[in-house]
Amino acid sequence: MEEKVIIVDQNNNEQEVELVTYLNTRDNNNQYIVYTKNEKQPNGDVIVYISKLIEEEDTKKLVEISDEEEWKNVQLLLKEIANA
Amino acid sequence: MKEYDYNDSIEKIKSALFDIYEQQEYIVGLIEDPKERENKINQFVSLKDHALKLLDEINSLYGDTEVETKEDEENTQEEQAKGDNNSGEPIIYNSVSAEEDDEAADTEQSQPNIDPTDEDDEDDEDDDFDVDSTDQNTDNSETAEENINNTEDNSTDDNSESGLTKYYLDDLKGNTPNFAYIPEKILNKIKQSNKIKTFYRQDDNKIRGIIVRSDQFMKLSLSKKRQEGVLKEAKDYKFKLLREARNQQEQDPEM
Repeated sequence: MEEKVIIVDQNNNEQEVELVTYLNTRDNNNQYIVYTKNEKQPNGDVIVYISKLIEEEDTKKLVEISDEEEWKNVQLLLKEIANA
Repeated sequence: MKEYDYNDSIEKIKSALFDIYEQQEYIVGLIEDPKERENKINQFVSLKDHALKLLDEINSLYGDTEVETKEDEENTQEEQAKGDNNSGEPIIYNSVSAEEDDEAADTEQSQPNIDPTDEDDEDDEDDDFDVDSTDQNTDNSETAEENINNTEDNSTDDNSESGLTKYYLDDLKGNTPNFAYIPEKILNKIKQSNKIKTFYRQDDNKIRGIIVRSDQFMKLSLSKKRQEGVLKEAKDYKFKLLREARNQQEQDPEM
């Protein structure tokens, strides 16, 4: 049921992952994708990955979050949805 | 001859349907088991798609105009089948049998031409027709174009009034064409359904990951559906009704 997407790295290696959801900051300036590689912990917990999404014309680009403040805010966004 | 406002009835049915969707959203949120929740969501989506399909089929038959009662409607449909289509309402034939081919052929010669490259400006949120042999439809678009004879008048009428562009399916037997119409936006949606979204990483920095519980994971998945249209449609429709009611109230404060 999850949507499968492909992530291409800078060496043109492709990896198929499952898109979980999108996160949008309140000012709608930043958007992130949350995806999973189906890595589940023994207790049922799931590892999700979060990358910043930049759309340029028809191309979707991913930038990794390096800023700690930004990462903290993204986690808050995630918590808001996951604990609703 | 009685007249019945089908459009009003359809809108009421839609409104009731979206009320059900909102209730379902609440119920789904209460389910703890992730698998059960997933099943519920799937049933929910399937029900919604089916209901909207039925509504659209009804709407396409009767359009936006008030229609006559059943017996008058049958007479009208017979006249339209003979090519006397001056009402401008879109006609959708699911299939034309071999026996009706002669009649249909005469009708088809007066049908508009099809250009698959033309883009439709309408929003494509609600369309989920089940189209048989969709692969055929995509593959045979060139053949379909060859089979079409243009008539300027009908072409203008159909494309401007109904906003639909129609496509042909080839007969499975390979002899006489067997016609089926779908709106262009449906065809484009079918074509796009095979495409997988691709994202391009712009750097080699470490990917940030986080561990979430299974119930949190399900809530995140639900939020995507909410954003992309399943429940968003329900909310948008509700807001639309509220806005219309508010506008009407502002115009007629005495009501």
